[in-house]
Amino acid sequence: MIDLPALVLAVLISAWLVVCAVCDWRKREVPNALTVVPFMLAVLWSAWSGNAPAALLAVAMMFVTNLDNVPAIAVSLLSSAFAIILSFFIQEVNVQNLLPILIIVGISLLWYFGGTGGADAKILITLTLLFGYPAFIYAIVAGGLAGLVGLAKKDKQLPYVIPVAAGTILYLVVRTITIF
Amino acid sequence: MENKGLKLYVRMLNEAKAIESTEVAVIIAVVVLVAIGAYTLLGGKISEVVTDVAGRI
Repeated sequence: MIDLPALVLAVLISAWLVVCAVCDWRKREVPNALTVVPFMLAVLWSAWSGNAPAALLAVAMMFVTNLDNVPAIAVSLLSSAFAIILSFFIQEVNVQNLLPILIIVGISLLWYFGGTGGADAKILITLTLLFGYPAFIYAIVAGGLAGLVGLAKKDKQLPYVIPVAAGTILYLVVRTITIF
Repeated sequence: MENKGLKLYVRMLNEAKAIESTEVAVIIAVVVLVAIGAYTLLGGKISEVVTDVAGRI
């Protein structure tokens, strides 16, 4: 039995990631049109499909990243606590629901302190909202491996969206095969 | 004030730059893998605590 919606979603997300990766490779940036719209759709999808606290937190972190250092950290912790407490009331509490909350805060703060670009942050948050923490782990591990290769070659420059896309597409392939 | 707020709001959404540093990519991966390792070792305990807290609430 083929899960057609899952297959279509996997194909669409893969195509989107390939386009983002090509943009990153060519210009070292991804146009906002390619990241903001999927981010907003992912927020709505997450809110609709069951992880509303993570969706709320993703929106809240957009505001938080505009604050000064101390307020940003304070509001991040407060928002995370709110999202976790909300989780206890409105959904089943498990790793699948709680980890995306921590990932969203972590990525947002990483961007805030200059560790990552806005495009990467939005893509990683979008993937986490859509597929939960497994897609994030695949993407991050692929990024780490690409980073190691870059370090071995003494190449400091890394178009990060390329390994993120590769890792996520691998995850989608594994997920699709598992579903079938 | 409202205009300033609106500009601030779109700051992260507006940034199109992507990460370029190999070191940062490796550091992020290592942190995540260490967290996964810690969870694998302590996962049962963490689940118990979470379930306990959820039960109390």
